[in-house]
Amino acid sequence: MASGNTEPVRIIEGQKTKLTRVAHGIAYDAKHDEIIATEPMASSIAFFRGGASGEAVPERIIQGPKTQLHQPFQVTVDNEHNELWVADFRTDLLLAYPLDGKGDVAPIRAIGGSKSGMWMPIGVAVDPQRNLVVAASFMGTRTWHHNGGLFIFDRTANGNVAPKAVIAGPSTGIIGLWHAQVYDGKIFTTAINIKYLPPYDQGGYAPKRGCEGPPLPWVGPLGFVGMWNITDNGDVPPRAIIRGPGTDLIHPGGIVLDPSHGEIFASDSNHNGYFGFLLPTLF
Amino acid sequence: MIRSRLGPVGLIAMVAAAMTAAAGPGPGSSPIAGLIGARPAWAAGAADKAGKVEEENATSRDLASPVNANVNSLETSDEFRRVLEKVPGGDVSPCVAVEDPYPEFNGIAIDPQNGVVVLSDTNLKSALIYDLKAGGPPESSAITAPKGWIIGPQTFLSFAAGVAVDPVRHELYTTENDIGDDIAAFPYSANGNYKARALAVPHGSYGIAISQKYHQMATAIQHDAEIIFYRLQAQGAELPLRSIRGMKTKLADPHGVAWDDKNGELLVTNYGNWSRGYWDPDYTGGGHYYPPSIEVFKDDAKGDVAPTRVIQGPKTQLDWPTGIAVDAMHNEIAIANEPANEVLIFRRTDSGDVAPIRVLGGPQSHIVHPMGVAFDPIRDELWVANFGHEAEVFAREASGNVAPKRIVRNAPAGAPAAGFGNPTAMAYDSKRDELLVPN
Repeated sequence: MASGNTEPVRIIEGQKTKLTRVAHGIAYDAKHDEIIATEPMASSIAFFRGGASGEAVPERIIQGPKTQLHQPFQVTVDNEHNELWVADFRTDLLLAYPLDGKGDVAPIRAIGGSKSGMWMPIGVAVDPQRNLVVAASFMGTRTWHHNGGLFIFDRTANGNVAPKAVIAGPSTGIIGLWHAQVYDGKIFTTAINIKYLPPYDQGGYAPKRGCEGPPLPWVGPLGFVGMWNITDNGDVPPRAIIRGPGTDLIHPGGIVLDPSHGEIFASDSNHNGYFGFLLPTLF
Repeated sequence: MIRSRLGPVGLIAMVAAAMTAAAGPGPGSSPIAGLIGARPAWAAGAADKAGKVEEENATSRDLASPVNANVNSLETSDEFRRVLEKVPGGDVSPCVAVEDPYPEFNGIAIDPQNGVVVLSDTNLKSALIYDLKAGGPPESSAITAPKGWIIGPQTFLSFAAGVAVDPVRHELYTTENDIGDDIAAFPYSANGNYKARALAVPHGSYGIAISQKYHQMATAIQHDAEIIFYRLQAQGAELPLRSIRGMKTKLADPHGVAWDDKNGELLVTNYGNWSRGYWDPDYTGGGHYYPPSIEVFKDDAKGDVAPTRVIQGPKTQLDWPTGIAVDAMHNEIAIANEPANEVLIFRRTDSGDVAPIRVLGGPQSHIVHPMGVAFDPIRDELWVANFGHEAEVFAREASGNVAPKRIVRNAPAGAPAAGFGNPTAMAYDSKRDELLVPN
């Protein structure tokens, strides 16, 4: 296992890759041996061979007006139903595509709208066995202090629908969520716990009314990795947590589960790195 | 792992990761403690990483600004505090920690008149100030001691990217490429946790350049595809003076900016990624990829104007062109061609699909993932900042695979550069037992 200050074993980079900044989502499809990366700066999703390296050309790209993609963030694969799920931060939508989609392909389903309660969804995870899809939302339209939460929908829901359950509230410790993973009926999520209020208007034309200066970056209560049951609902404390100065997590973002080894990995932007935790009892 | 190699770069890196805890130190022995302990001696006494918060985030509360009261007043709720100690897990030590304890250079700017060079550092969220004569021969391995290291929560430095210097007022400017949304300014004498003169700017600022003729600064906004201009020494929420923006501009994910006062031009590098939908939820046209380019605008341009010249096409060899510098004395442009590990030199007046007049790069050059470039016309030198632990100094006309004259090091020679830039996503490649981390 790589640890300490180490360089990557391979890098996918360069103009031909069509990768962009703000790559806030990545997934590996083990069944098809593909790397899937979301590209908000070009409103696209790029698919690479699993072993890609260097200036690799993507095998295919989802991009275009029909896709409804604006700022695609986390992406996840449902091999059981051959679907690809994406959370779109700009349009507050969860979008489902055929897993082999390419080009200007329309989503099969889109969950979002006033009834959904999601505001800036960043993370998405799917539970094919229970037919549920989970959004980790940075904020919520009807949550306590508009803090984020976990919004759980029927996997086959479509349009402006209410979630089956929402995990949010003061007892959850959630200020803002980032990514999520689901394993065996449990939701693991990163509570990045920053509350970002841009000083400029949407589009960056002028400072917002009342703005007196830039925000201090990376402020907010200590973030954490939290675990809930997918059947939880309401203002429920996490069933398990990784949180505290000894964890080296301040505002965690990405999350990876390795149940076979009992490990959880989380990346942290404050530390500019990632950290692994051995917690087999959580699985 | 995702290596955020300088936030502006889209990149995926994989670290071999046998997903077993056995290789890591056990609980209670955080590997990070050892890494921090390996910090260079000159770092002693300086502020710890910017943004590091304690349990109750006292630092952020102390620095709360009225406009962000809602942000900074948010604290852990009493309800959560009460249940926290009963929740399984808690303050567990990581068994694996991958991070770089040293700065990693990004942008660069030079003040030849006052003998100052400034380099931004994305990794530790800082800026380093060196003497222009600093650095040692390529075979030296020692860390180069900076004159000043600006780091800490009051600096507003987070995802430090572009750098510019004002030789008249002896000030330096750095752009914040992530959620800080600011340009932070400091005197050349700044050091440690120095309180910045901070200006709010749109999200995603990267390159920055200043003009003494106009008494203005210009910064590239990646996300909105614009160049936005402010008064020099602007602060707070001061309004921009003008912007170059719109379909005629062909700006697409702009990065580096250089201001040529002598010839009245503004030069911009573009990666070519474009999406109005990124910031406009009502836009339905989808995203686009365009070829990378160098664009030249009149330096008093405003609004939706076309560039006066564009360097673009397969002969240019442009590949994620990042930093840009103009040498008005010798009529040359330098481009940090980041993933190609090269610096491209064009004639200042080039246009269209033209080949560079020189290409600098190769193993002897030490150029690896160059992000920033700067000319020193007085000493006839070219500086190159790698996204990592070295900045190289070459003779201005150097070409090909040649060794630099000097190297400025922020870590001992050979120290790995993890190369993260705000990693916010991860995936596990179960087939290869690797962690995938995009930047």
